[in-house]
Amino acid sequence: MENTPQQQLDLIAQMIKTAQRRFYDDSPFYIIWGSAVMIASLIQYVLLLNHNEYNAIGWAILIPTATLLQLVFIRKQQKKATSKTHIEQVLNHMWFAFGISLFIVLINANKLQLNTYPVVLCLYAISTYISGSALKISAFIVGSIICWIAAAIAFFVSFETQLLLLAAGVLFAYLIPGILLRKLEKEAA
Amino acid sequence: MFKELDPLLHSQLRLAIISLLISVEEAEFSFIKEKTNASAGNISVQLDKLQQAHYIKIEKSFKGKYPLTTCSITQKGIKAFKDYTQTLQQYIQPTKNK
Repeated sequence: MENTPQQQLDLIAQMIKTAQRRFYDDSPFYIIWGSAVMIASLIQYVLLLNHNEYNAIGWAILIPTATLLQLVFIRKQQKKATSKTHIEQVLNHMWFAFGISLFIVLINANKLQLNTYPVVLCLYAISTYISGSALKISAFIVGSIICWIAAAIAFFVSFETQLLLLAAGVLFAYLIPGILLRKLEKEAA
Repeated sequence: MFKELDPLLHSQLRLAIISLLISVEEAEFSFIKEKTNASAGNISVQLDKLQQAHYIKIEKSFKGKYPLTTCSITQKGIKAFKDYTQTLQQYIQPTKNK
């Protein structure tokens, strides 16, 4: 069968598109972490208002749960994945760097004191901005801008208000874009 | 003058495989089979031809208990693909390349 140059170009375009459709598989991570951090922040905020000494209980329960769920999803994804895209590779490295940075910041929270959450919000903004730019999803970019604004404000407010800013930051940077990503994933399927 | 199209890439399946591999870091055999809808036998033959030309690299390993074939494009393959698409463009818009 003789192929015209146009048919060949169409085939190339179609194959490139089909190979790149797997970008949306990461939606569970954004939804899990977005929900966990938002709920834990709000629980601590409410408990602090009620002078409850166990105000960090939300973090103690939700962070290990989110970590466990993430490990389950990574395992599931690794089994399912039959290809690795260049962008996925870059984003994996970015998330690794983010994890290390966040760990260093959080274990030094005693030294950073009230500066901890603003720095965390900056880290969220960086990771979300890079994800959004790489995946070309504007909801992430908007979320990252909101996180940067929240970070800038958080340096000047009380710990309780920082918790609300953190909740708002992850809502716009992780949870809402994550849900949108899931929708795109379903549409592409 | 039209440049000659690379005969190795001027086949539907081989071009489809190279186009898939150009857009990913690496791909498993099952991914190529799923996306091209071609038979396993046909894909194996074409992968072999592309490997002999050093356009792609094939690695054989195991995923659990099952054998796994992973393919990735080489620098030579990327260059061949680039030249091929440029030549195709020349055929479509000949005036631009005179």
